[in-house]
Amino acid sequence: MVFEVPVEKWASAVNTVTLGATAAEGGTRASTVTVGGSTTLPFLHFEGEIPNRPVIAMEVLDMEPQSWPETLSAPFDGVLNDPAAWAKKCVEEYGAEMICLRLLSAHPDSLNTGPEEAAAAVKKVLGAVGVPLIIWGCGQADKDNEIMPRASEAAAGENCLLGSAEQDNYKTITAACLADGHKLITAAPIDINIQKQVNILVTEMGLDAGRIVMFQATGGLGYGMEYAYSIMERTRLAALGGDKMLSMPLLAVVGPEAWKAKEAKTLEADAPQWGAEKERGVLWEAMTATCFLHGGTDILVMWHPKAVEMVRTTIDGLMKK
Amino acid sequence: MGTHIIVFYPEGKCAEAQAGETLLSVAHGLGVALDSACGGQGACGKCKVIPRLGKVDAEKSPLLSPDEEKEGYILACQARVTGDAVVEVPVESQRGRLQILVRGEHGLETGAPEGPLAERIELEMEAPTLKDNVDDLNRLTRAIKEQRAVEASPGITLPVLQALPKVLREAGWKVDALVGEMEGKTHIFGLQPASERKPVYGLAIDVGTTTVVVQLVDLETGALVGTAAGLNDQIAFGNDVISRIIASEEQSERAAALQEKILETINRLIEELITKHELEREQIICASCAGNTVMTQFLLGIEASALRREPYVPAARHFPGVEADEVGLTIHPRGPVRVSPAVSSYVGGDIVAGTLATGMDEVEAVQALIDLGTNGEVAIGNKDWLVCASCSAGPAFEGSGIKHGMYAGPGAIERVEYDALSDEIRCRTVGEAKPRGICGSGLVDTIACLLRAGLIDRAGRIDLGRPTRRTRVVDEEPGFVLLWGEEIGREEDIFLGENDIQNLIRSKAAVYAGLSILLKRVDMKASELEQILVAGAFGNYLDAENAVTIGMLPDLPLEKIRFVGNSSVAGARMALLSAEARKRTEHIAAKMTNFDLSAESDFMEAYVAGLFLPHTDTSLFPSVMEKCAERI
Repeated sequence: MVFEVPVEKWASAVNTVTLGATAAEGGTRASTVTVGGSTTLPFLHFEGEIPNRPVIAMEVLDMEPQSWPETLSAPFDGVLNDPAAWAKKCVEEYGAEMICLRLLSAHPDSLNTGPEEAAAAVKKVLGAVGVPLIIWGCGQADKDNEIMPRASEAAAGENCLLGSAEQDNYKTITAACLADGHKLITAAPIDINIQKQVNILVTEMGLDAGRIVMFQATGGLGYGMEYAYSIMERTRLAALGGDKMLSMPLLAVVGPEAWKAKEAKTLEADAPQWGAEKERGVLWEAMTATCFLHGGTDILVMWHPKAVEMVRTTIDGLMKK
Repeated sequence: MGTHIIVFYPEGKCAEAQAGETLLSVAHGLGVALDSACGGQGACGKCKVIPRLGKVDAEKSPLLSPDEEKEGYILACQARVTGDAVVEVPVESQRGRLQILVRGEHGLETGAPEGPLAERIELEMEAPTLKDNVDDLNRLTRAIKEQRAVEASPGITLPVLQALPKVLREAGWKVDALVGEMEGKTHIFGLQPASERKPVYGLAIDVGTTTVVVQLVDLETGALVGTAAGLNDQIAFGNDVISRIIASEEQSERAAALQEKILETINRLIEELITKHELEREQIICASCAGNTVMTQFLLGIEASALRREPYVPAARHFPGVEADEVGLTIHPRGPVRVSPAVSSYVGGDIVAGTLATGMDEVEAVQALIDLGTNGEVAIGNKDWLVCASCSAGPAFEGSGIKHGMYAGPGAIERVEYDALSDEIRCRTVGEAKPRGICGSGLVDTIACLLRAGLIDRAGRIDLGRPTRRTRVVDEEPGFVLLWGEEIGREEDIFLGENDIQNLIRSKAAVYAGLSILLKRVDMKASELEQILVAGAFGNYLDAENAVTIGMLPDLPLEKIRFVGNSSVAGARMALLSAEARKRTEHIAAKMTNFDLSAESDFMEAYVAGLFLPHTDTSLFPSVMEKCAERI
C-alpha cells in the first residue's frame, strides 16, 4: 500500500499586509515587509501556498530598560539609552527586518513623558533606519490616547503598524491610523471572540480589514504559551475557513514575555542546576518564538540578537519546500 | 435606649422600634413598600429614605449622590433607630404595585375540568334499612363510586368521619362531599348538607422569585374568576435565590422567616381574592403551585442550603401533596395542595408547568421555551424528548442592577422609540403612569434604538461624538438620557449608562448562549425550531424585532417568536383542573434531561461570543446586518 498524505483544501486565505512605504509610495523606507497570504496551516507546503515568510521585528524602547539581565543588555552595550542608535544596531548588526518602537517612557508610572517626546522618538528612529516600523504605546489607555495621535502623525505616510486597538479603547488609535495612512494592531486577551469583536469595531469605523494585524496576549514558554498557541491555531483555522473578521496576519510579542520567566533570567550562581544563564535566556526566547511560528505567527517581536539569529535559521529551514 | 416610635410616610404606617434596629427592618416589619435589592447589605442603594423629624444614626454611603446627601437622603439599611422619628419614603424608593403578567395565557388555554385536584360531589343516598344495613362510610363511598370512576375506596379524614353519622342524617342523606386527590389517592376531606351548597374554587399559584401570582378558578366550569399578584415579600432578604438561601443559612429563625414571608405573600393575595369575590375560606378547596426549586423548597419549609452548593442537589424532584393547613395556606384547611415537580436545582416546577402549558410535550414539532424570570431557563423538545438548562441570565431583565431600572410596575418605561433625526424619544410606561424608571422590555428597546442610530458601538459603548443632546458623561460614566428630569418633574434624568448597557448585554448573552448550547447538545439549528416561546416577567411587552436586533433571540422570522406570558401559572392551572395534566407534569419532569451549563466548557465561550451586538458571529444575524447595511 502506498501512503497518501492527506491534503486539506481550504476555502480561503490569510490577508496579505505590506508594511513600510518607500519613496515611490510616499514614504522614506528603504525596504518594505509583506506578511500573510497563506492558504494553508503553517509550513504545510504540500497543501497550499505560503507566499511570505514570517518576519522578525526587533524591539527598541524609548527609554533605558530597567532591570534587564546582563545577558540581554550586553549585545546592546552603549545604545540602550538611545533608541535611534539601538534601532540602527538591530538593523545593521543583527539583521532586523523591522523595528518595534515601544513608547514606554510615556507611562504615568514611568517617566510620564508627553506626546512631543513620543513624536520625537518616532522621528529619530525613522531617521536612523530604513526598515518599516511598528509603533506601540505604553499600555495605559488614557496616556496612549494622548501620545499615539502625535506619534502617528510624526510617521504619516510611512505605512507603519500602530499598536494597539483594544475592545475598551480603540477609537483614538483607529482614527490616527486612518488619518496618517498606517496599519493597525488589534489586541485581545487570549480570546478569539473578543479578537473578532475588536476587528469588527475598528472596521466599522471605516478601517479596511486588510490594514489589520492581530495580537493575542502572548504567553512565554512555561507561562501560558499553550493558551496563546491554541488561540492562534484556532484563529488561523477560522481564516482558512473563510471568516473575514479573523483573516488578518498574527503578531506575537516574544521578547518581553520570554524574558519575564525566572528560568530565562536567574543567574547560574543562584540556580546551578539550570545551567549557564547566557544560553538559557536566549534558548527560552528562541523556543517561545519557534512554537508561535508553528501556531501561525507572521510577525515575531523579539529582543535578543542570538535568539533572533536562531529563529531566522529555523524560518529558513521551515520555508524550504 | 429603649423603644421609639417611627412613622413612615406617605403610607403613614408607624411602629415601635428598638433602639439600634435598622430603618429597613422596621419598614419591612410594618410592610412599608420600600425597595431593597441587596437584602440590607448596603450594596444596592435602593432603600433611600429621608428622615424629616427626629434623629436616626445613619452611616454615609458612597451610593448616595452629593445632591442626595445635601437633601438628607440616607440608606434605610445603614440607619439605626436612636429616637422617635418621621421618615419619608421618596417616590423612587417606593416599591410599586406590580403590573405582573397576570393573565398567564396568550393562547395558553385550559379547558373544562377533567378530574380537578379536588371537587365537590353531590350525593343522594337511600337511608339505611334492616335489609341494607351497610355502614355510613361504605354508603358514602358507594355513592361516590357510582358517580366517579374511583379505583379504590376513597379514604376519609377523621374529623369528617367523626361528624359523618350526624351530617348524613340531619341532611336527609343529601350531602356534598369534598373529594380530593393526594398522591394519586382519593380522599374525602369535607362533608356538607346539600342545603348549604356553595360554589367551590381552586387556586393556581405561580411562586416567583420576584413576583407571586394567584389565580382563582371555578372548579365546576374551569373558568378563571379572578387574579391577584404581588411582590414576593422575601425580597427583603435579597433579590435573587442565592442571596435568599444565604440569608436562610445565617440564622435558623431566618429560614423560618423565608417560609413565613412567602406564605404571607400568598395568603395576602388569597385574602384579596376572598374579599373581592365575597367568598368563605372553606370555598377554596385546593391549590396547585409552580415555582422554581428554591421557591418550592422555601414554600414547603425544606432546608435549602444544598441547592447552592456543588453538586447542586435538590431535596426532592417530586414533592408530596400536602394539606393546606400543613403548609400554611389559608384555604380550606384540609384541602389538597400540590406542587409542580422539578427537574433540578435550577430548573424547577415553573419550567415543568410552562412546558405543560405550552403543550410542547405533546406535538411532533420541536419548540423552545425561554422563561425570562429572575434567572432564565431554556427548554427544548417535543413529544418524544425534552432537554433544559438554566442560563444564569441575572435579574437585569427585571430592572435589577440597572441604575434607573425597576420592576415592570406602574411608571416603568416599557416601550421606547427613538427618532435620530429629531433626537426625540417616545416612550410608554406601565399603567401610563408618570415615568419612574425603566424595565426589561424598555431596556431591550432602548439598546436596539441606540444601536440602530449608531449611538453605541457593537460592544455597547456610547459614541459621544454623535450629534445628539442625549449622550453625556455622568459621574465619569458615558450614557444616554432617556427622559430629562424637567420633563417628568424630578431632579434626576432617567439615564442609561454604559454599565447598565453592559449588564443587559451580559443577560442577553447568557440567554442566547443557553439556547444555542442546548441546541448544540441536541444537534439542531435555531432555524429548525418550529417556534420559540418566550415566557416571563416581560414576555407581554417585549418587542420581538428588538430582541433579535440586540441578539437576545436568534434571527428567525418574527412569526416564529411567540410570547406566552406567564406560562408557569397557566401550567399550574392546568394541573389544578385535570388529572391528565397532573400525570403529564410528572412525565415531563421525569423525562426532561437537564444540562448543567456551568459544567460545560463551551457555554462560557458561547457567552463571550454573545457579548456583542447582536453577536460576534454576525453571520448568525443576517436580517439585523442587512438592516444595518441599509442604514449605512
